[in-house]
Amino acid sequence: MRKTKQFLAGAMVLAMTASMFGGATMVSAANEDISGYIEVGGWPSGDDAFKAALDGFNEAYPNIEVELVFTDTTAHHQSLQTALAAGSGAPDVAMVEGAYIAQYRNSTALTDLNTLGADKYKDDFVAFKWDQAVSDDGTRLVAIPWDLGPTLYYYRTDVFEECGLPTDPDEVAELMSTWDGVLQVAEAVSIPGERWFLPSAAYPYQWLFINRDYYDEDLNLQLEREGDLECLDACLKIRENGWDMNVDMWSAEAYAAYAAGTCVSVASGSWFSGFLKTDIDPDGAGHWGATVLPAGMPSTNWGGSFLVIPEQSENKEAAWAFVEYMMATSKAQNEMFAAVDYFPAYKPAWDEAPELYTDPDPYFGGQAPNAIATKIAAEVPVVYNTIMDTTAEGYLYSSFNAGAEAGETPEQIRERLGKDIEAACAELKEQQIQALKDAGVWDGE
Amino acid sequence: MKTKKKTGLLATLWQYRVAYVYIAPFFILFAVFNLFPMISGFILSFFRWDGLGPMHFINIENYVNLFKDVLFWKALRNTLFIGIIAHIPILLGGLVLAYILNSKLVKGQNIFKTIYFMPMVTSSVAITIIFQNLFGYNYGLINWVVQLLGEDAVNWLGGDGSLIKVAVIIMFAWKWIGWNMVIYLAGMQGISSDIYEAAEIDGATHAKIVFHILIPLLKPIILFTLIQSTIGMFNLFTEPFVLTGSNWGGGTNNGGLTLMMYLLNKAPQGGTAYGYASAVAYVITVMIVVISLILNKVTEDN
Repeated sequence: MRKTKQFLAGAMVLAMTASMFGGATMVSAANEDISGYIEVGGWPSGDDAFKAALDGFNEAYPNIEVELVFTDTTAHHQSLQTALAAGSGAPDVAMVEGAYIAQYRNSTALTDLNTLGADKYKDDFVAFKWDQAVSDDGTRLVAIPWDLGPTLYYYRTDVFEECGLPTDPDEVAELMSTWDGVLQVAEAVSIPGERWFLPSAAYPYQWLFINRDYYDEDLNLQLEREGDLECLDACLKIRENGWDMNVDMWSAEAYAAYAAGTCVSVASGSWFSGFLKTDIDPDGAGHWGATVLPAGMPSTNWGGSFLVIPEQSENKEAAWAFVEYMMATSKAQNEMFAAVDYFPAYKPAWDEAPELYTDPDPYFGGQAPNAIATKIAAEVPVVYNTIMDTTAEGYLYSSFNAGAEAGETPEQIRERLGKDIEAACAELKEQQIQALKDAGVWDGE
Repeated sequence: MKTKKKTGLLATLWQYRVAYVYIAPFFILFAVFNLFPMISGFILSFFRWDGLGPMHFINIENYVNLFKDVLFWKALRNTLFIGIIAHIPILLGGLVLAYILNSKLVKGQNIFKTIYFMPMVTSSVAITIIFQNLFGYNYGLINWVVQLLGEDAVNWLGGDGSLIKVAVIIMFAWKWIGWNMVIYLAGMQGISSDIYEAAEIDGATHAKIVFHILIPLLKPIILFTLIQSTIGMFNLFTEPFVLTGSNWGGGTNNGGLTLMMYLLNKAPQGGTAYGYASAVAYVITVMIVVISLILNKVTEDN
C-alpha cells in the first residue's frame, strides 16, 4: 500500500513535469528516472508490432530494457494462466486475446491499472473494448485495449465486375442492403461446383453474433435478435442452391479459393486485410474490395487483444511505462498498425496519421477499407462477454450445418442452437456464476 | 523391542544411504511433477475453481454433473469407436510390416523403420493440415478420385458430422502403425533364431511358426503397445480439433468430439472450470487403468 502511494506520488510528479514541458500527446523529453528490465509476452505478430515501435520507446525511456518473449496464442495463454495461479513466472507485460478477456476481468492476479493512472485514458479508447477490461463490480481495470477488428465484408472486385455487379464499396453495400439483394448477388456470382458466394452459408448468421454477446448480464442466452430468422432463411437458400463451399472459412480449401477467386466473398475483422496481403493472396492487389456487412447488420467487432500487467511483476512502474507508451500514444499505435494491421482501439491515433486510415489502399484498388473500419469502430456497442463465448461460437457454425442437413426451418435451427449451446456450456456457466458471486455482483439463486 | 526395530530400520536406511541418494533424483522429480499434481488434481475435482480466485468445495457435484452430461457420453462413445476401429489396422498392419521387415527379404531395414516411424514424431498440426487437404470437400484429393469414379463429392469434415471419424481413424491408425511396427520388430529380433530353426526341422509350416511361436512370444510386447495406443486414444485431441476448424463441439452433431477435447474445453484451453476438468481427468485415468488391467488379464489367461 505504502509502496503504491509512494509510487503514485512519483507518477504524479512525473506527469506534472511532463505536462509542464511537453505537449499533451507528445512525449517530449526522455524519461530517465524509470529504469529496469521488463519481459513482454504474447504471440505473433505482436512481436513484430512491438519491434516496429520499440525505437520510439527506447528513446522515451532509455533506461528500460525490454525483452520480448513470444510463442503461439494457445501456449501463451496457458502459461500465463499457470504463472498467475502459481504467483511467479509471468511476464511483466502480457498480451491477452479478446476471447480470453472474460476469464480475466475479475482476476486479482492482475494489477488494477487504475492505480497506475490508467483511468485518465478512459475516453480515449473505444468504449466497448474498455468496458470488457473493467471488473464486473466496476471497480478495477485489469487491461488496456490494444486493437479491434471492425467487421468488414470482403469481396472479389474482379468477379463482381465480370458478373456485371458494381465494385464500389458504397454501391455494393447499397445493392446488398437487403437479403433479397444478398441472394441476388449470391446467385449472380455463383457457379455451383466451381465458384461460390461464401465459404459457408452459416457465416451470415454468425455475423449477427460476432461481438460474442451470446449471454446477457443475467447469463440468459440471447439468440433472438432483430432479423435473425430472415438471416437464417437466406442462409438456408444459399445452402440449398449450392452457393456456398460448405467448408470452414479458415480451412486450407477456403484459403485457396479466396486466392483463386473461386470463393468470392467473406467477412472478418479488419485485421483480415493483413492476412490477405501477406498470407492468403499476396498477389491479389486490385482484386479485393471491402465494405460494411450486408442486409443492414449492425456494426460489430471481431476479436482484438489487450495488454495486462500481472500483480506479481516486480517492476510495475516500467511495465506501465511500456503499456502506456505502446497503447496510449498515437505514434506507437500507428507504427504498429502500419506494421501488422492491428487497428488501434486508441481513438486519437485515427486522426494523427490520415494516410493510414483514409488514404486509398493500393491493395484494395484505391479503396480505403480502413476509413470504413474507422466508422464501424465508432459505432460498435458495449456488449457483455463471458467465459462461455468461445464454446458457443463453434456451435453457430456446427448447429446451423446440422440443422440445414436435417432440413429444418429457421425457427428449428435457432432452437437447436440454443439447446446445443446450453448443453455444451452448462458447466462453464456454473463457473461463470461462481466468478460473479465471488465478485459480489450475482443476485440470482 | 519396538525401539530396537526402529533403530533397525534406520540402520538399514543408513546402511544403504548411497543407494538412496542414487535413486533420489527420480523420486524427487516424480514427487514434484507427478505425485503432487496427481494428488492436488484429485482434491481439486471436489471444488469449483476458476484457476485464480477462491476455491469452493462442492462435494461430488462435478462427478454427478459429469455423468449426467450427454456430451460426456457422446465424447466417450466417439473416442472408443475411433480407438477400437483404428486398432484393427494398427495391430495387423504393425505386425505384418514388422514381419516383412524381419524376413531378411527386405534390404535397407533402417530406412523403412525411419520412414514408418516418421508420423509419430511429426507435428500433429502439420499432419492434420495435410489430411484437411486430402479430405477437403471441394478441392480434396479423395473427392477428386470419388468424382472420377462418377460419384458425388462427399463432405467428409462437414455434412452431418458422421464422417469426421473416418478421417480421424485413418490419421490415428497411420500415426500408430509405424510405432507399433518398430516395437514389434525389436521384439521379433529378440527371439532367438534357434527357435525358428528347431520348428522348421520339426516340419512346422510358415503359418504355424507365426501363430504358435512368433505371436505367443510377442504377447508381452503386443500388450505394451496396446496399452500405449489406448492411452494415445484417450489423449486424442489435436487431430479432430484442427480437422473441425478449432470447433470445441467437435464439428457437426459433435461427430469429432473426443474425451480429451471435452476435457480441454472445460479448462484450461476452452474455459476455466478447473475443478470440473480435474474430475474429467480422473474419470479418464480410471478408464485407462481399468482397460490396462483387462488387457493384462486377457493376455495372462492364454
